[in-house]
Amino acid sequence: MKIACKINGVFKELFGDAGISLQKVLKKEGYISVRDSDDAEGFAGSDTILVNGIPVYANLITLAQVDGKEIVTPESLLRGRRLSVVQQAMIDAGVVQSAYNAPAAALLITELLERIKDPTEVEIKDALSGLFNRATGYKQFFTAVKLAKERMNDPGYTTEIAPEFRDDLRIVGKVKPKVDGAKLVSGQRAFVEDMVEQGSCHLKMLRSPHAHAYITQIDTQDAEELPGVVSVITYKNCPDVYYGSAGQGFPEPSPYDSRMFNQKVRHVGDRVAAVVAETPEIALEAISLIKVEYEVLKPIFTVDQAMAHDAPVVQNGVVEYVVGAPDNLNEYNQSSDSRDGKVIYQFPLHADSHKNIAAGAHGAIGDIDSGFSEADTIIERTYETSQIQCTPLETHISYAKMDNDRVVIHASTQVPWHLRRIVAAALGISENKIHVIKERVGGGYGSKQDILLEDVTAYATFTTGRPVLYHYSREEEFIGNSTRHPMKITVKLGSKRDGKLTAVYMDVRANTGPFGNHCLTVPMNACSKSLPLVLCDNMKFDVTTYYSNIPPTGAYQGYGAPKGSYALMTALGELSAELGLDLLDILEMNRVREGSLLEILRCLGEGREGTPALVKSCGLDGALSIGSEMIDWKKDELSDDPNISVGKGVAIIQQGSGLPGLDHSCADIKMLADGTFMLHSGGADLGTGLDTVSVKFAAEVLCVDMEQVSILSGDTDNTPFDTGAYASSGTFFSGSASKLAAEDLKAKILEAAAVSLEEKVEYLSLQTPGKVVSQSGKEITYWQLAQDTQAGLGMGQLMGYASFTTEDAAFPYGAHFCQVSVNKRTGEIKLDKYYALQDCGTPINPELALGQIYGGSFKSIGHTLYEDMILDDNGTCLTTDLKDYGVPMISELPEDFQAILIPTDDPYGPFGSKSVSEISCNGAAPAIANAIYDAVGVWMRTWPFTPEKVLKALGKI
Amino acid sequence: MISDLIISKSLTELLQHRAELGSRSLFIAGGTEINRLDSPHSDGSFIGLSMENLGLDEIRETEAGITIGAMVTLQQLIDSPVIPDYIKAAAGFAGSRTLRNMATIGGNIASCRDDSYLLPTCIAAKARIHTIDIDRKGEILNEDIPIREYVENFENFSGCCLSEIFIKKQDRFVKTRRYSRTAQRTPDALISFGSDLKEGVLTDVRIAVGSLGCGIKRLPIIEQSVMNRDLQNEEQCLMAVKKVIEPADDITGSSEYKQYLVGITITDLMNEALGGHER
Ligand SMILES: Cc1cc2nc3c(=O)[nH]c(=O)nc-3n(C[C@H](O)[C@H](O)[C@H](O)COP(=O)(O)OP(=O)(O)OC[C@H]3O[C@@H](n4cnc5c(N)ncnc54)[C@H](O)[C@@H]3O)c2cc1C
Ligand code: FES
Repeated sequence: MKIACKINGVFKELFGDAGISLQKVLKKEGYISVRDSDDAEGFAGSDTILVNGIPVYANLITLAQVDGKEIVTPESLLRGRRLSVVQQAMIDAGVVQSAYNAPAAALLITELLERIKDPTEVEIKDALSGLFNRATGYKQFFTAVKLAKERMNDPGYTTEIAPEFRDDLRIVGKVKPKVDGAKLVSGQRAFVEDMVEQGSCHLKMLRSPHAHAYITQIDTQDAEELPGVVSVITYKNCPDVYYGSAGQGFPEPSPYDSRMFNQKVRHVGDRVAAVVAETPEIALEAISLIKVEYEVLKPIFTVDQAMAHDAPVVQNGVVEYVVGAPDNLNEYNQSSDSRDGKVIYQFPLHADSHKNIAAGAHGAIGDIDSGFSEADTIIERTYETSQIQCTPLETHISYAKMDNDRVVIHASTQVPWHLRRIVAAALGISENKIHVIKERVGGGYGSKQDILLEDVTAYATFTTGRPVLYHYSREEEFIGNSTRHPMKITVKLGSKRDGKLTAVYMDVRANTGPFGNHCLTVPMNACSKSLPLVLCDNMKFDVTTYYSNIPPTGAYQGYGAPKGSYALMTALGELSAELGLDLLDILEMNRVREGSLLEILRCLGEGREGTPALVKSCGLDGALSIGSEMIDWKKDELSDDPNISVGKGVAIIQQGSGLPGLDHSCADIKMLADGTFMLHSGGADLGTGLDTVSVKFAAEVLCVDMEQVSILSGDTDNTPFDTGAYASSGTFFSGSASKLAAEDLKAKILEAAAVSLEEKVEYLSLQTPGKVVSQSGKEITYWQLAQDTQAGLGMGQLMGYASFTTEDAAFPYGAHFCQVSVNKRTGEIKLDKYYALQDCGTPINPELALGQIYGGSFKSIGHTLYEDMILDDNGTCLTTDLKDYGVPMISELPEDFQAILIPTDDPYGPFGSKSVSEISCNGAAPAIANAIYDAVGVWMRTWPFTPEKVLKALGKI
Repeated sequence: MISDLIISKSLTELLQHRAELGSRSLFIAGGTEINRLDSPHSDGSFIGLSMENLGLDEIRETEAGITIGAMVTLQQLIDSPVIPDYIKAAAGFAGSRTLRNMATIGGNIASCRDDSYLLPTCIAAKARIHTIDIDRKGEILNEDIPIREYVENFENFSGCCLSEIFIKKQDRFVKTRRYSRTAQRTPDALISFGSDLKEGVLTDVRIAVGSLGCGIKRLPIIEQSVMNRDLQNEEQCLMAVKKVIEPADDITGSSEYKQYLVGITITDLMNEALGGHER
């Protein structure tokens, strides 16, 4: 049908089926900022537009319904290239992070300010109530609205958005706009979906209805014969190559236990067949024509089931080792089933796949037994965590096309180089035949560290020659994606009467699900990012990871640390209750501090020999003293409501800053013909502001403004190698590489200037803005220098290059405090206060650092209180949309939510910085568990802490 | 996906189309249920009948009560100065303002979802609904029924056109509790309690529950027990609830938990309704 309407003030005629969603039509018409995060669930609000002046979801309106109406999309806010006041305010306030639906947020705020000139917090929450935002934790939206509101009256208005740091530096530590902020907030082409060309094919996946089964028959003939079907891929015609999805440094501490398609399906939602077709509809129809017969096997879903002596074996393939095979391997493989394929270890991981053990790690310092025998008090407690989804606004997506004999992959990834390596191996081609372009990433949080769909998309393109798009549905996001590993962690603590720890033991049993991606590192992190928080001579840990038939697990912000911190910090709370001591005093007595030597790290090397590390900077002093004052720790709070009890809790937390000895980042930077700079960073900015960090470093070193430095990052053809954005490596590793590359260029600038000025290099220095000066008073601008070096006679274009590796560790620390009100009658928990105090060394982008802390804390409040991936008895996920899964929205914000930066100066970090984002996920569960105990005297030993669990613990049901 | 949308100029025209097309057609109000992902009508074989521009988007206040057009959105309910607070609160159970801008009261009632935002409250408030139909001679047939009857006999009414919802002006206690982990997660339970108070005694009690995995239910036995003053304390309430309702064990919690919530909430709301009065 044809309808007529006005879009952004312009009369338009639109064509399409009457019932097609307006979002699809608008997108096709080029209004690309109108996105969809949930297959038209009507939850996330990425598709928000105005119809006749009122915000609505474009996905829930059909084309026919807007005949004669006025439509406004986020594109309307941009005047030429000029951002609107609201868009600029959002960038300035630091809420433009991964930004998939930042344009929708800008539209909602604009509508709010037109409706209400001076909105209250309640009205701001109401206006944004239909918008899901995973990255920012919402808090800085209030600042954005305030900034916009004031600037509408006074364009020059400014206020303190975030504290600034390092008076000795011009750019680092200062609030500066995110370099890609304008592009993201205004909804320009930025994400993979924006790169898809007309005529591309669509890939859809047939997924297993069984949690554990062999495919006995698969008939794809009808599907292949359906007009419009281009290709069907199954285990029968896919490459016979084993690999793992984990985008980790090679050789990975994860087994290669899967092919592109396997004869055995290992979870409900496992890949069975891919259909590539001209349209998504044809692909779906073809899927319905594929006939599959299964031999159904008994599934297992829990660690306890996986451990049972007669448990079904999830990975019963032939085991191979690249190095370090045990002598009895042949004998071991006697019981393998060829239909299970292979499990290939790069090196031994203490695995026993035929007993469902994917990996293990064991270690100790001191003498744990004598530690316990010295103790006056011993407690032993077990904590369990559930499977949690990252829920990025942009679901996983991959778009591949051929360029002559090369495969070009537009990816939403945290690991462009691992992606290239894994896809090359899967396709059996060399890496020079693959070009990965990391586009802007609409939220990753760990799940985009895995190669979940790029392999099959690239293969489809490589075999058909056609451009192929594969975009996960929200349901696939739940059933075919990495999630937080469920874990069962037992903590045993021994202490003296005064609270001094004499022994600490942690037993971590992790559930990796069907595949072993990250099966060593994530569970080990439960120990390596929690045990070093306390100083105790006698420590021991056992980590064992089990296969099962739950949907896949993998990396999620914090890795294993949120689980380990929950267990250890809650156990310390339980110890303090047992001893009748204040938890804060116990933490103070036992905690790590500047100068501590972390012996335990010797045993926690993530698949290689570890080394003890010296803590060079630690902000826990400040975090604990300021935090306890903010929350008035010693004061008992009372409620007027007799059903409600109030309690306070605390946890100390830590993370790393990348993986010393494993991570590796490179960058180069060129001087352009006018004396400005082009920086090429291997780093993968996920919306966290890593590109801004890199530009800031280069601008600081080269004495120019940020506008003089442009950046290209995460492109495997055009930027140098980087292991990727995970393990909190961005600022520390990729940032260091950018800084060092700029320093390398600085040295070359000085050399070239010495020639031009006929001066000795030692007498020269860089000066802002963009010139070289000599002690004798001579000077040369970068512009002149560029002319001198690039005009045919000089030394050629000046370029800096750096490769950064290190053995030195920089640990970010923090203390999270909270206050809860628990309703003893209903079990409801209200988060009155949440204070996240974090030491990230020098905060490079203070406003973005705060955003990371708010975002990480809020995500972990989500897994602590609300979110739940629930499987039925057959292993089918029952919570495959955002409403049922229960993601927190702006309405769930703690009443008083504050992130505080506690600066330290780390000698190893670039400009004294350390990582900031992942650590923020580690505090909520233990702080809230401790607060609930303080309020009502019960311990929450499994997350999420639901009202039902509280009522059960209180004996009410 | 609908295959076509018919925009009628009058209610009569709308009803004529409906009579002609029968079950091949669908009323389209806000579209938030019809057009969303799991709509059972997404196979393209339905013709949409738009409810827009038929004068059904007004709220009228008379001495007798408040008449709400079926096309009034949940946000309009909240913004209206004449709508009782308990209806506003129920409209607010739709946690997203953007959704409330689209979702209509008629669409909500006609969806009759287990987790219905409005139905438990409307039952407790003794709301009535007007349905309209057209006979063979083209005459419009109006019917006015209590909302509880509509829900109880939903199968008979489903597909008939709601034009208005009527709430009597009354000095009635109506309150609904919605238990949910987050404002927008599927609720664990919805419990609504309505009553009049005459000389310290609760009369005309209506108790409706939802989101228990077994549809919107009125609890007449408990209503009677409340009026008979048989339920003197929480324990008795819990016992009574266990006898009359068996919620599903599902993603929001166990049956036992939900029974508990229903029991304590009825106790609380009953006490609140009694205010300072004797039982
Ligand atoms: C993320 C999300 C969560 C939701 N959660 C809930 C929830 O918890 N509780 C809840 O109740 N709803 C929920 N909904 C569903 C929906 O938004 C509401 O029920 C809404 O009130 C429906 O109104 P509508 O005008 O959009 O109806 P429509 O989608 O237009 O229509 C819904 C149904 O009612 C019929 N209909 C509409 N108007 C009339 C009329 N006047 N007479 C007869 N039949 C009519 C339609 O034919 C259709 O069958 C949710 C929706 C979304 C997107
Ligand atoms: S329907 Fe709004 S983001 Fe999907």
